Amino acid sequence: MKFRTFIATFTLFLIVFFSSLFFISVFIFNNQMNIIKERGINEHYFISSSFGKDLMAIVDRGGNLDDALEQLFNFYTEYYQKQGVFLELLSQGKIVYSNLPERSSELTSYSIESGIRKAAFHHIDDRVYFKIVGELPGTDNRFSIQYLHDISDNLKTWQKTQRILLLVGIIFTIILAASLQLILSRVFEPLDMVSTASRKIANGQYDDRIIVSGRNELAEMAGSFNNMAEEIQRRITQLAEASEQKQQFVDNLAHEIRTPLTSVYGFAEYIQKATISDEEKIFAASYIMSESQYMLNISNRLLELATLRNQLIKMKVVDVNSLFEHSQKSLAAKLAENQISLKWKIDIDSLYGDKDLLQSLLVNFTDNAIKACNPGGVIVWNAYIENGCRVLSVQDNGWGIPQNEINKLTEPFYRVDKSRNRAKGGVGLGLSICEQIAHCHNAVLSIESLPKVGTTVKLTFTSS
Amino acid sequence: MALILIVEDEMPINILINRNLELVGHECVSVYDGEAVLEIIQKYTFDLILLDIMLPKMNGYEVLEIVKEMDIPVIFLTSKSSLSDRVKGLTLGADDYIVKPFEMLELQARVEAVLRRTNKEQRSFVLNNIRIDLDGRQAFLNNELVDITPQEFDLLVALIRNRNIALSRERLLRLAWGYDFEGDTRTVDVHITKLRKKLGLDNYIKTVYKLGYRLEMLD
Repeated sequence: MKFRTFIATFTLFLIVFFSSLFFISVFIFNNQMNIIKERGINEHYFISSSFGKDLMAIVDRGGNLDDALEQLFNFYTEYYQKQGVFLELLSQGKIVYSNLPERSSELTSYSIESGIRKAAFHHIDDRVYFKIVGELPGTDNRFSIQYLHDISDNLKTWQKTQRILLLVGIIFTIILAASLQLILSRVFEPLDMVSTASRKIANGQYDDRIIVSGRNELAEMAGSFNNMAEEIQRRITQLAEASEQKQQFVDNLAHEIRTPLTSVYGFAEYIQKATISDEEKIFAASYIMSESQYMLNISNRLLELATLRNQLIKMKVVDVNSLFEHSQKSLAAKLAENQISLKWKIDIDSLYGDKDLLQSLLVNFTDNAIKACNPGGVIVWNAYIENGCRVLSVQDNGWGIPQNEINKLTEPFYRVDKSRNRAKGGVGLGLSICEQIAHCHNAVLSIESLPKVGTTVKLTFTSS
Repeated sequence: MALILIVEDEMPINILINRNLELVGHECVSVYDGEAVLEIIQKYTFDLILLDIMLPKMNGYEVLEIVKEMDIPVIFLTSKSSLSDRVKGLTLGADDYIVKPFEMLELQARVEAVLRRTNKEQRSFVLNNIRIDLDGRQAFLNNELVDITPQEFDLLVALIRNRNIALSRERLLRLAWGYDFEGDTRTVDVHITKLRKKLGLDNYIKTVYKLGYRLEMLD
């Protein structure tokens, strides 16, 4: 682009510049030639008329014509030779007298007509003459005067001028080339930066930006480019995060499936190949059953999650009191087993949503709370209004969750316990399902936790 | 006979490994978290540790650093299957790396291999009036040398190493004849018959219906 602009501008300049130089020199030359012609014609006229008058005067006084001719010719030539003008006296096309230093053998071949003068350029050896031929008045067309003005020097001067013009032209061309290059570099600098930056972006370096200076269109473009780069980087980061999350999901799922599969396969192999007692057989089979059950749970929960994702729920008014009562019934056994007490506080009568899904959500939260509490722990359900929004919360006084784990809790299969032991947990999909349920209700799920103080899970309904 | 520590927090898998290794004559101790290892290695001298990586309280890498100082061979047992995890495990000094899910026979084979490398494997094997010298590749019946062919001896070793476990004819072919042997499974039957006859093992080498053979010796 830059190179092409350079070549185009440069060529245009060369054409315009040199043609104007050419025209100027031609104009000067023509001008000079016209002056020379004018002068020559004038002088020829002057010489021939005065020559003719003088000649006539001498002849009238009874002088010899030939002597007079020579005398007069010498007189005139002496004077004009100083000015680079040579004269020739012709008689019927033949040279009678001439003061040209080296006269070539050629003869003037044109005929002289009365009252007509002819002008022409004449080359003799390496010199150029401006030649005018015209009759000598008063000689009845017998004699004519040839006027030869040596213009070689003029031509040489012109050639010199031409050379100087060419030299000046070349110097200017060089200066122009250099300054054009400089200007174009400056003009194209932002474009170069854009192309470098876009190449880097194409290669995966998304943090490259262009330094914007000035307020012209290019700076504006650089600004837009930066915005674009920013946006691309943001999107790419998002994609990378999403793909990482997916990878994490796949890894986790693989682990969740592999572990029970290992036991199932192992115990089946054990029954098939080992010498074992009936009691041992029952023991192994019971493991196969419980592990299969676990895998069944995973598949059910995953299915639940997938269904929730594509489902539009039917929203109805849900009575909070009955929601809490129903939920408590399904949790009663577990609460008693873990010696945990459940309390609730209701400031709002109703919520808007799907009762079954809300109950499943409440049970899920409470299930987690039970797992987090020591015997004697207290769990509080609360329904109230905060900043104009209805809020449902589950609070426990359990172990709490480390701060950096909180935002990962809703990832499928995520476990705070790094060993991923299943002894205390379910399949690790509960909170993912809860988040999906919240999403279906246009509600926001937030978790606050302090280690050793407890955790509060809050569901804030934004639409009702 | 080796004393093996199994560190695995998944109860079913821990028990499964324990039972299988005891079947072939090893003695096993099971623990379910990383910290318990530190205590138990003070009490016993283990020949081998099967170590899970993702463990409660203390992960497998941390446990490895400690047991390595005591010069106990370790086999990592994990569901982390990526190349980088394997490389990390092995460069940290584990003797082997087994990825879940695994087959018990493979686990046993790898356990035997590590024990063999660390010279902790069984050198001889006694069954009633039969004694087999695994180093010298000799078998004695009532203290008298029995003339058995090298191929029969290899088959016998395969059966002893996987005692109490049924081995298919195909697996026996692989174990005793080598991986690339593509023989008729009838060959196995012929050799088994000879072994039974020569060492009087009729009551010990059992034919398992539709499966293969098993050397039974319940202690």
